[in-house]
Formats: sequence, structure tokens, C-alpha cells
Amino acid sequence: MRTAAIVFLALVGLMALLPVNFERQFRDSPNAGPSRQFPLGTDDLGRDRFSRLIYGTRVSLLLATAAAILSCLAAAALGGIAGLAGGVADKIILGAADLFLSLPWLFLLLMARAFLPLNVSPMLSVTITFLLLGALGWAAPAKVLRAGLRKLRGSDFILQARAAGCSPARLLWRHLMPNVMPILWAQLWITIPAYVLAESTLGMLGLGVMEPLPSWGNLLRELEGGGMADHPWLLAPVLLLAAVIGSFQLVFEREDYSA
Amino acid sequence: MFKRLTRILALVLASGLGCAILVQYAPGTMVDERELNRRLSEDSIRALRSRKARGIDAAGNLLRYFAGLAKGDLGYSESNQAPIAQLIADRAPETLRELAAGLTGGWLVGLALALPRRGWLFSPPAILLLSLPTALIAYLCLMEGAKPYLVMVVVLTPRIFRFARNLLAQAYTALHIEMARARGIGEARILFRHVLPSISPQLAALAAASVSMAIGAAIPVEAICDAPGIGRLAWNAAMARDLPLLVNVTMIVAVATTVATAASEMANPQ
Amino acid sequence: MNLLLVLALCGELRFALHDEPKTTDPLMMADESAEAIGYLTEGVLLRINRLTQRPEPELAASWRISKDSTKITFELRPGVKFPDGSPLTSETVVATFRRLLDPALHSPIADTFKTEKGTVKVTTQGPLTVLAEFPAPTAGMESMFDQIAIGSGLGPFLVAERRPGVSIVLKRNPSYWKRGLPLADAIRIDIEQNRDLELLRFRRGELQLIDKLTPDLYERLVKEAPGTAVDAGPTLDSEFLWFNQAKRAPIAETAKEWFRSTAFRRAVSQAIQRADLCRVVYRGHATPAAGPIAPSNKLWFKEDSAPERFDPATAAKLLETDGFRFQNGVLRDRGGNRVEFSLVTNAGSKTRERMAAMIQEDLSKLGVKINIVTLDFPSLIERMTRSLNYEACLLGLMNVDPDPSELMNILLSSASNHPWNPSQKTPETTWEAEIDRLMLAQAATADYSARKKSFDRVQEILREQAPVVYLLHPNALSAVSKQLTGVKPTPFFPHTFWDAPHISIAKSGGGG
Repeated sequence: MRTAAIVFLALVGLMALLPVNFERQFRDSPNAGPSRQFPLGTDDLGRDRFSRLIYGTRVSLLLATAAAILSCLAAAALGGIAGLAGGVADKIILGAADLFLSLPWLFLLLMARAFLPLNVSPMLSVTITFLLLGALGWAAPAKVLRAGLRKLRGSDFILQARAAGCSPARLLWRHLMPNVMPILWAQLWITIPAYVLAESTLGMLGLGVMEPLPSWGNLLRELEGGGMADHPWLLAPVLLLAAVIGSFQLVFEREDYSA
Repeated sequence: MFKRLTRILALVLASGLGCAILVQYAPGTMVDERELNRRLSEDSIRALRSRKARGIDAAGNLLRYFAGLAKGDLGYSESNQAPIAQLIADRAPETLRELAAGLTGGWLVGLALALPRRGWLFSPPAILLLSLPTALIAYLCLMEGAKPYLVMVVVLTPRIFRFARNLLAQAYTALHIEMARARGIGEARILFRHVLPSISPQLAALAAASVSMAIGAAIPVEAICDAPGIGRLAWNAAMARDLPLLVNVTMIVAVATTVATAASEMANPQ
Repeated sequence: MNLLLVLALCGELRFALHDEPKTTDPLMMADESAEAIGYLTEGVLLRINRLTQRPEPELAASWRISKDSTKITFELRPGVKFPDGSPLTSETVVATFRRLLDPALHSPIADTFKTEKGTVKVTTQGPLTVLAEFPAPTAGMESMFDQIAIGSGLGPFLVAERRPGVSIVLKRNPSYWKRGLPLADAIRIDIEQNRDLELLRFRRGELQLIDKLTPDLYERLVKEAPGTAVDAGPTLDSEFLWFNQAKRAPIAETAKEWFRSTAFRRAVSQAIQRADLCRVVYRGHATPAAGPIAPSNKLWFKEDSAPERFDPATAAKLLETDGFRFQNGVLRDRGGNRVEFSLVTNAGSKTRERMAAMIQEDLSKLGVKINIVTLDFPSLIERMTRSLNYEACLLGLMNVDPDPSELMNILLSSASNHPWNPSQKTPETTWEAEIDRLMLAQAATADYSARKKSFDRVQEILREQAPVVYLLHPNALSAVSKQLTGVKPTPFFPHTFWDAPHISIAKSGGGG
């Protein structure tokens, strides 16, 4: 199952790189049904849904990955310091993480969005939004990493390495890092779909990617018009999203309880 | 315990202060939509603006707020034209109902599906539901006429199912379980006498963590379903830049989340 | 009326508002939700009939306007009582106006009674006679009194229960002066922000009216429940975009130069396909706009006006006259700078987002690149009115009063709501100075022909200079349950419940 999930994700990634024209408006055919020209029909402005789905997949997946990498790097730095240094540094970073987790993140994003400069391209604007998501999302992975490092710090082989006169740098690079990498890797795989879902939620609340760029969030917003029974092709983004996120989940089983 | 309580209190106060500072400097905080009313004269617009500015002085407001809090006065919500204590008292039951129903339903259904040996059959629908944004699940349920508490059950059940199933899968690999099976002990007895007791700390931790999950899901669910709860109050307060209301709601959510997290850590120190 | 029929027709009317009313003080109501509640609960001296557009007596049985249009004398209806049993007298009316005009109150409604020449004086001339004296001849006097709530509790309904942000319940006013009315026992108003949910509840029979439907929801209702969707025709509202021409705006100087060029603005106007906006975004339920006045406003619409013709070829030529050059699909100004700017609008409005996307595509054919930015409303207002940190804005205007004086605080160059260059100490252009002069002139006389002449010229200048690119006038789209009788949808706010006392609910009949 895991292999099938990885293969599926790779195929989706390749499909997302197909060249498509997602902005062209065929104004004489708004809300058209599926046809040869428009495999998933057209949206309210006559734009090809299939092209928008392909491009939206690219936007959401690429940028969610970028956001996840950023948050994991921040988590590695801060969680690493907290886990290794302990003491006051640990308390401060843990407190900051808990504070970040309790602040209303939707409001933080709303604010950040309003502060964005106006004259940036939609792609740059959405990139900044995702990076902000990443910058705000370091807290949960940092706590996991910190917990993992604290456990490792007290383990037998580390104690033995210390007793054998291992330098701190060597201890870090040769012993701790290789054991922490799986945790970081797992966090990366967990946070990519989390950011895809976060962007989808923002899109559904009207705070997502700016026109004319498509993303899964604003494609899902089309469902708000209803009529799914009569127009089942509207569910294509839902199915693709479910398949992609589900594949991520199959690749890496989650053990922590964070939402 | 005292240290934990102090930490929770410090965190709650910090989240309130952080929220107040955020709102003060957020774009649009100093404006009132009524300024766009074209019947207003310049004097009236100036009066509206200075009234708004007086209400947004974060430091002064926080001191007044804590002084009022000691007397049980949580302040006044301009966007709702009502005392905040009254608003919260009015909305809290709806959110508590949703959380209680969602958590009870989520645990009952989640565990009922996770416990049986054929529980793996429910993994694909669980993965499907976990793969969809909470807002979308809320919307789809809403279109079918589901109430918000049912939406919470649908959102929480797959999470609880998945984590419980993982815990059970790990527990079943223990040597003493294999030994029990080898000795011919029945599956039901193995489950209730050996497996469940061995994972009870983790289950307790999961229970506490599920409270955090539920609180996190409440805001988008209430915003989409227009349910008259604390989540929707928070969303509207953010949109209206209602500083006193947003600070109060943030602190309430912070208390609930940090208590739940602390309980989870105490139940399963690992 | 047959008793059984009356019993069958009583009941609770249910509909929703999209926002919590920002005030409960009837003299401070300045937002749509508060005005809706005030409309249902407060008594006024006279009411403009939304169907006929004519003033009708309410608490005032009759009135006389002096020949010089500076005085209006009201004869109050005898026998009208407040809920506590006290009678309505001229003293009540005077006390209301005293409070309304108190400078400390800063009532938005009062501002229409104050001019540079002075404030209205309201005095009692007898137990039931009230005289209002204006400092100068004032046109449209009657419609001003449509908004003033006299005392409290003289309307057809009273507020019985209020859950802030959730619902408001109004009960029949037992002391309402119109005997036998209102027909409904109560009105339950839910605060419902989710419009899809509102429609769903309407379809289930939980709501009986939707005052304003978006075009896509209207079309859905037409398919699912024909006979309940009503298109009452073009409203007085308009959708438009404008460019930031304020000198002090913190935007690039090159952008300011473009926006201050009449040729640029006219070219943009000619490059936008208004017919497509009406057809695609509004599904045919809108009319292309020629200016600020909708064609349905027959008194004030300039008869020979027509919407700017879609003519990209002429638009391109206009741009060339101003030094713009179209090269390789890109428009550049005389300095070689690419013409690119941002268009802000409010987040959450699907119609505006779609319009912005269509305008973006239309202008791309001229080589103009637009970046669409959606902001939450407070952030948008902050940029529009305080920081002036925006380039172009797409918004709409809700017009309640057909009289052009309603647009005074938008068209006067000194107004803070003057969209393209607010709060000017002196008009920065000759045409704005001309608009100022004409708007003040039309407000200073009650002679309709003189006012029409002035305001026609204002409309001409707005067309010539295009500081605002008017796009369309949306239709009034509503939903009315088959359970209801007495609902007469109009294009004017409130569209469906303006005649609430005569709305009745049949107990039988399905929802939606």
C-alpha cells in the first residue's frame, strides 16, 4: 500500500507539471458540462476546470512542501536547541511554542494577508502566504522534535559516546542527527498535507489564493454553489485532494495526536 | 502541580496580551464601517474615529480589563452591542454541547470501529475523512441538513479511530499478548484484561488531546454552519477587530487548550 | 375580515439579516441591519411607498410645504399612543429632533439636516402641529423625514427578545395606531452570514423571505423552487471601480500619472465588457451602468445617457494620444514603464471577485496587467480612507434615496468619502470644482427643472472625466415563500418587507 501511495503521489506530481492555460475565459460557455474540450466542464467564468485543477494541484503541492520545509527547519533549529540545551532555553522555547499554538492562527493569517504589499503577482502573494503558514506552524513539530531529542540525550549509546570522549560537534553530527532525521522526515510528511488542508480551509473561508490563480482551496469553494447531485464533476477536486492526502497518510502513519 | 498551574496561567495571560497587541496593530483596527455611510458629515466621521481609537488603546484597556475581571466584568463588545460576559454565557452552552456530543460520539464510534479485529475495514473511509479539510466536511454535512454537533462527530471520529487503532496494533504485538493467545485465552478477555489496561495511559492522553482537536475544529465548523457558539463569536470578533471580545475568547480557548494539553502530558508522560 | 381567515393568516414571519445591527438607538442607525430593525419597529412622520415612490402619511396625517421650500408643517394623527399609554404630541416630535440634532450625539441621520447655512429648527405650533424650518430652500424635504424615528415604540412591531449575533424577535405592537395591523404576530430575524445556509433554510421552510439573493443562488432557486424567486428589476445600487488620484497617496508616481490621465481612465472604461459582466457574473440580472444613476431612477436619470460602449480599438487610440505604447502584448507609458497596478476589493464577495477576474482579462487585451487583491473589509476601508495605500478599487454603492443629494458626500471634493481623492481643501481640478458648484446648486433649490439641469451636467462631467468607471446596476433578487401574502418586492430597500404590517403567513403550505 505504501509503495502504491508513493507511486500515486509521484504520478500526481508529474501531472501537475503539465502545461495548461487556467485563466482563459470562454465567456460563452460558463458552467458548461464535461466535453472533449473541457473534460471537467467550465466554471462560472467559462474557465476550463481541468486545467485549473492541474495548476491548482501544482500550486497547492509545491507551496505546501515549501511551507513544510520552512516549518521543519524552524522546528529543527528551535526544537533542537530546546531538546539539547535544556534548562532556561528549553523553558523559553517550549513556552513560545505553547503560546503560538494558543494564539488564533486564523486572525494571524488575516493580519499577515492585509499587511502584504499590493503589487505582487498572485504567485508571489500565495507563496508569501504559504511561507507565513510555515513560519507560524513551527510549534507542533518543534515540540515533537524536542521530545525526541530529550529521549535520545539520555539514551545509553549517547552516554557511552560522551564517556568515550566524543566532542559535542561529533556527537551532534554522527550520533544525534542520524537518529533525529527520521523524526524530522516524518514531521515533514505530516505537515505537507496539513498545509494543503490549511490552505483549503482558508480558500473555503474566502481568504485563499488570489484570482486568477487556482488552488485546491478556491476550487473547493465552487462546491458552495451546491448542485453536486446534478453536477458530480464538481467533486473532482475533492476526490483528488482526498487521494493525495490519503496517500501521504499511508506513506507515514501518524503517532502523535496533534490535529 | 503548582508549577503546571502557574505555567498555564502565564500562558493564558501571554496569549491575551499577544492577541491585544496583534489587534492593536492589525490593519483596519481603527476603522468603523459606518464611516462609509455617505450621510455622515465630517464631524461625525471624526467623532466615530476618535471613539474607535479610544477603545483600541491596548495597554490602557488591558489594565482596565484586569481590574474589571476581578469584579466579574469582562468588558463590552462593540460589534455585538452587548456585555461580553453575557455574550459568552449565551454562546458557551452551544459550543459545550457541540464539544460534548462530538467527543462522546467520536469516542463511542471511533472505539467501536477500532476495537474489533475487522476494524481495518474502516481504515479507508477514515483516511478519506482525515484527508478532507474540516471546513469542507462541515459544508458537505450542512448541505445534508446535519447539525453542528453531528459535524463534530464526523470530524473527530476518524482521528480517534486512527490513533486508537494504531495504539491497539502496537499493543497486540506485545509478547505477553502472544503468550495469552498461545495459552488459548479468548480474544475478548485478551482485549479487556490485557490490551486495554496496557494502553490506558495513552488512551487517557488521547482523550485529553482529543479535547484540543475538538476545540480547534469548532471554529471552522461554527463559522461554516453559522452555529451560535464561541467559535463563531471568535471568527466574527476577528473580522470586526473587536479587541475586548477577541482577547476574552482567545484566553478562554487558551485555557481550554493548555489544560487539555497538560492533562494529556500528565496521563502519558512519554 | 373573516375570523377564521384571520386566524389562519397569523403567525411568525421569519427571515435573516447578514450582520448584527451595530446599534439599537433608532437615531444612530447607519448600517443596513440596524435600519431594517428600525424600519419594522419605529414610527415615522411619513413613509415613502417603495412601490409608488410617493410619500404617504404615517404619524403625520397631513403636511404642507411652504412655497419657498423652507418650511414644512405637520399635522399629527390624533389618538396615537406609545406602549406605556402616553399620547403622541408635538412635544414628542420636538424632543426627538432636539436629541437628534444634539451635536454630541453625532447622529448620521441628523447630518442630512445640517448644512453650511445652519440647522433645521423644529418647533411646536399646537398640541398636534409641528413646524420644521430649514435655513435654505431644500429639495426632497419629505424623504428626509422617512428616516426619523419619533420617540420609541410607535412602529408595527416591538423588540421582544435579542440574542446579540444570533437572533432578534419582534412581537406585534398592541398599541400600533393602524387598527388590525400588523397581520403577523411576530417576526423572527436570525443573524445568518452564510448565504448558502440561508437559502437552504428557506428551501426547508425555516425562513420565509430572503431580502437579497446573490445571482448564483437566485438561479439555483429558480431551478429548485420556481415561483419563489423574484427579480424586482434594477435597483438604485451600482458597482464601480475607481483609481486613486490623491497626491498624497503612498503609491508610485508613475501610477499616479496614469490614474490622473483622463485618456487612461476613459480607455479603461471602454475596454471593459459591461454586457459580459451582467450576463456572466450576474446571470443577466443586472443592467450596464452609464453613470451613478440607474435607469430605474426615472426622475434623475439623464435620458440620453448610455453605458460606455465596449470599444477596445478606440481605447487603444486614446491611450496612444497620451503617450502609451502597446508592444509585444504589453502596454507601456511614455517613460517605458509597464502599465501594471493592483485592484483591491473585499474578500468574501464572489460576485466582486468574478467581476475583478473578468476586468483583469479585458484589460489584459490592452496590455494592462492587473493584480487582484482581496482584503477583509476593515483592512480595505483602512486603505481607502486612512492610508490611501491602494491603486484601484472595485466596490459597490447601496443607494436608498433616489435624490441626487444622497450623493453629496461622495461627489463633493472636500468629502472624506470622495472616492478618488478624498478631503481636498480646494478642488484640485477644474472639473471637480464644477461638480462641487453644480451639486451645491442643485441642493440649494427646490425647483425640479433647475436641479435636473445641474445634475444632468454632473452626470455629463462624470462621463467625460471618468474618475469612476461605473460598471452595472444589479437587480433586486429576492426569495418569497408561497406561504406569504402581501409581499410586494421592489428594487428599493427594504426590498421585500417594506410593507411588513400587511404581510401575512398562511399556516398551511410547504416551505420554500
